[in-house]
Amino acid sequence: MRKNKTLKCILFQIKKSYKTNKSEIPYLIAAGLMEEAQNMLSMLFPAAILSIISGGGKAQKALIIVTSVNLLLVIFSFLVEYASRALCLHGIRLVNTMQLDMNRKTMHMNYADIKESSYINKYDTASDGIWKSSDTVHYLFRVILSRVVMISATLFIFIRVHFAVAAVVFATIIFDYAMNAHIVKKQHANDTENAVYRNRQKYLDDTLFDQNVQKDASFNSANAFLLHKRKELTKSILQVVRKNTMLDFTDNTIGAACTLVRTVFTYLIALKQYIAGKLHIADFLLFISAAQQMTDAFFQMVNAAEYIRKAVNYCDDYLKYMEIPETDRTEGNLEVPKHFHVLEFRNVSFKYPGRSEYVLRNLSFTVNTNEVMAIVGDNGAGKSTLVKLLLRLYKPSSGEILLDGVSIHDYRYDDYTALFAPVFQDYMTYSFTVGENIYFGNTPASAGANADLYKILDKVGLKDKISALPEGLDTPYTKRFDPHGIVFSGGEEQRLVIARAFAKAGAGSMILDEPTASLDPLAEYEINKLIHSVAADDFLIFISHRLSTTKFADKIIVLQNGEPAEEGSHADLMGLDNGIYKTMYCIQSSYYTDETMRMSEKNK
Amino acid sequence: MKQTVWIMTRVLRYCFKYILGLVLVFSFSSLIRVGVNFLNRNVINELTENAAAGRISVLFFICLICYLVVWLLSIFQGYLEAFANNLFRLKVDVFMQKIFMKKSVQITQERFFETDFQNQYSFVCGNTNRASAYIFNLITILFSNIAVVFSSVLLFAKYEPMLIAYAFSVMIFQGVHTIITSNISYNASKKQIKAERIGAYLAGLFVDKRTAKEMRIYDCFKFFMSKWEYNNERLIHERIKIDNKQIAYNHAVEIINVLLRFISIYILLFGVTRNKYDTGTFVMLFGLAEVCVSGIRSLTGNVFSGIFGDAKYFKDYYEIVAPIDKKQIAEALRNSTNEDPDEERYFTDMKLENITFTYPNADRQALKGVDLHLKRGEIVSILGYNGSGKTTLSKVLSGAFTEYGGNVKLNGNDISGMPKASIYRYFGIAPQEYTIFSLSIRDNVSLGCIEKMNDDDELEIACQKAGMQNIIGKFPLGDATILGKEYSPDGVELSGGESQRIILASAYMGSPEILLLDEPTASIDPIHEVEILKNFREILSGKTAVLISHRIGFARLADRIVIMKEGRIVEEGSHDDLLAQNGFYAEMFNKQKKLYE
Repeated sequence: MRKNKTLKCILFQIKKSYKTNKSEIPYLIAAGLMEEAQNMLSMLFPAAILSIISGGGKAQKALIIVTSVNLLLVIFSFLVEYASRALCLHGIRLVNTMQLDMNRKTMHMNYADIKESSYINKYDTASDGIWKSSDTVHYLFRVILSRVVMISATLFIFIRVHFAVAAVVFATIIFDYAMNAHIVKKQHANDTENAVYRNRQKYLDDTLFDQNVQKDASFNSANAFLLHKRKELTKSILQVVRKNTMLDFTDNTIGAACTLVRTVFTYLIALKQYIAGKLHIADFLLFISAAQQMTDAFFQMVNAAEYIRKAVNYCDDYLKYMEIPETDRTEGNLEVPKHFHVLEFRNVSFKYPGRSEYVLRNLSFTVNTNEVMAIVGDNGAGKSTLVKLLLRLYKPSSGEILLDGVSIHDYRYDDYTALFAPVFQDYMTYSFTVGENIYFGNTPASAGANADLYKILDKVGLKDKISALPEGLDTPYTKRFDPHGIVFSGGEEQRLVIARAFAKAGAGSMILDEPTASLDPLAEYEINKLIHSVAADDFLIFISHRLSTTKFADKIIVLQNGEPAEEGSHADLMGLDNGIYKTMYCIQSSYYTDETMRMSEKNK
Repeated sequence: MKQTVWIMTRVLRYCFKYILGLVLVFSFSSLIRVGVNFLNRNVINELTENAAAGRISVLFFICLICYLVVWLLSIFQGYLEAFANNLFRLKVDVFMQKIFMKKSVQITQERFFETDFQNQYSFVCGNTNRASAYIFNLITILFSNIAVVFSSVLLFAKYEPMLIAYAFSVMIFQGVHTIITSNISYNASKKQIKAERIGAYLAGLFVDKRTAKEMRIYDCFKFFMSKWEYNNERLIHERIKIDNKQIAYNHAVEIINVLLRFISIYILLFGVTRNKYDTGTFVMLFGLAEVCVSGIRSLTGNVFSGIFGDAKYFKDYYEIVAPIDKKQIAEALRNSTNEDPDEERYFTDMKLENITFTYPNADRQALKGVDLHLKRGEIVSILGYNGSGKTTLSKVLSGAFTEYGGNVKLNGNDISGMPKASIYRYFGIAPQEYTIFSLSIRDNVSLGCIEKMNDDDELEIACQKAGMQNIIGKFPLGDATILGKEYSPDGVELSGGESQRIILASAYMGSPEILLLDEPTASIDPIHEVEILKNFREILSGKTAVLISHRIGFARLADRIVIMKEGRIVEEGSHDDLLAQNGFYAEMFNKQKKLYE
């Protein structure tokens, strides 16, 4: 199993790298070998010179060697630098592609999975996984491969001089590595403990540096308090750092002891050979530096292997994310009929995943394409949840939602969602251009399309504002990236979002989920009226807690604590004695009667 | 340069002990490197002279023992370095952040509306840890190289003075190279901020839960993706341009270095063949030349890049942090919990005279000459449509905006000369755009008045006033419940209405003299709103309140209603007065009233 994972991840990385750029791996190999050649030259160079000098050779000969070696070194370093530059860009491209795949995946995942509280952790882990495994190919082909070459070369030198040296060098390195692995494991345990603190620190840092937070920081003492929190965290982090530093110390000591044994042994053997006349002084120098090179090479190789071992886990996190099922999108393959007539909620109950309390209980109603429906109720009554169920963002826990008698989940996902143009309560506006905020680049920028767009803008009452702008629809929206950007007021922003809903091609059904909460009732009423008069070939659903603004609906459903409490037209509902709708309506209208006045006068 | 010195002196003063320790460790370790070369000389000479003749002298063994000592010392040094690195950098990071944050509070809010400032701000934010890295690197590089260079130059002077010229010319070329390239990379990274910010913004959109909904229904994913890809490509493209430039310079300096090295080896060969010195010395000088030149290269490279590169980041940092003199730092570093909570803060009246205000980069005035008089014990409601200037007015009132025209007088004194903190002390503010921190409910509420943080009674009263009791009661941990998942996986997510009540409670904290509520009930439903409003006057108990709203019901609570339209006050008076005037308010009121008929 574990072997499979390793293999799977390494293969994935190689494949990805090959797909992103075919020349990456050859480049890596070439760069690695070139570096190795540089190392070998520097290892042989002093010995060669010494051998000429002590051998009483001529300066000219030494000069030739010096010149040629240096020229070679220059050439190699040019090549390595050139390759490294290309590789650096490959690295960025690889990471970008993987990130892109991941974003696409995010878009295709079930909405319920995204809303899950553990989601952001999963995303972060996977995203981290990209970065932390992105050098796998690099280590595999550049480091490990070239270091193997170096180790073989030094081994050759050792065996020529004395085999025992090679054995001792290997033994000490392996012992050192084993101890090191043990210590790293301990440190890893500490790090896991530290991860909680680190996450908190990250949150605090992000918050502290958030411009929106800083903008208002002067109102409260948030900065001082957050800094205080951070200071406390730093203390906890430092404790772990101290522990790890102690472990580092132990590790260093063991490493040094091993080095000591290795060095002393190498020197003694070399000395013995030298005295015995088997070793020339130049070879002596070469021998010593070969020992050093071998140790370095071995440790670099071990580090690379260690990186890959870790990277496999990180890469696995990424792959796990990429394998999260996309059931919501893939279920259902029926074509949506061109004309449909009735939408039905049949005994729909819903609770959010992992929660025990129901948000909606036993909800049943039908709505016809020619009816305007309003859903009213307090905050938390389940109004927005209902919309999410209808848009297939969630699946009902029990019961069914039917479009012309067929469960909506049986229709093809893209076809089905294409029917609706919702405006959410927590709508987003984006720092692109004004036009892009409306059509998202979906409409071809032909002259006709622009005219259509202005027609829509006229409908929502933004035409004058936008045509007055020198750049029109291409004006940057918000000043986030451009000082000439335009900033809309709350009301204008809402109109913009409504224009977006109108502009969604082929969507005949509109849903307004209280996008007008920050407008005054009159403005909300006017927007609702406007939409009522111009929109919706198919379904039109309004959601509000302001009863005055949805009076005109043919059918009003009053939700209370997730249950449908009352249903009917405004007149029907006002006719119910002690009805919930009536009570709510009276409270809201009391602002405009003398009821409130008396109340506040009493308090005076 | 001035800025770097300014920052350096502060950091030096802040953690002198650590820096001294680091300097000692590094100077010592650099001497070891020279020592090894010196040892090599003796070892080689021993080998060539004595050992070749079959003798091994005591000196040789002493040399070997010296090797051991050198090894041991280097272990110890590694440990010290690691420890100093961790401790020192954490400490300096916190210090730099602290100054920055404290300064943030003093920056007037309107600057956050400037695009250039936003860019600079995020640039500096992303680079505060540069200071610790820079100082640490500077110390490392300076002290681990100076001794090497110095002692090798001494040895050169003794054996081969020509090598000094070699070292000197390497320094000059390396210096020129670094100045050029660090300028390039600084300018490049500054130029890329915008693209990087856009990248970060887009990347954020992909994880935003609100966008997740819209992406699924509006099919705008492809569009986001193309924007993101375009942005990435642009970043890479610029990167290539910079790299190409830098690589050309790298190559040039590399060639010069090789030539110089070549000359140096020739000098040495010449010396040893002419028997100017023995083989051991040759080996030593050969090694020293390498060590010394690499020392010089890293010294000039990094010190220059420090002065010409990193120091420029300091300049940006300084520009945001400055002007902040000694007194201000002392004030800023003083923990705000230490501020005297009993200081007199009795509000009598506030007067706004002919206030005008224009947002940075905006072409029209947000406020066009507003006069307002606020007296103790009054409830004033500012009513108007979106964009009429209500929120802007409230920000001038509370001292958040300072670059306004006209005068604001608090208790008869002009506020422009007052420190911000002493103005805020009068206010309890619930802003329209608020942030709920991923901290405990208790912490979030008490941020409104941090001095009373540990005052349970005060906290309970504030929560009660905001109608939060049943929210707290919902959770087993009570007011210690963490909000949001960011800080703790057990955190809870609140609804919009619940969050708004937390902000309301934080405004009530410490019974402020003036309560400033900006659309405090926008996401609270009417039934609960009535509950909150019912006792509003009692809760206020004679203090002053400014209510900003577009809701008439809310406004009717007030003693005086101020109607704003297009940056001006158009009407002012009680509900009855305004209705009698039959103006803008009456029209608005009657229209809305009609909706309920």
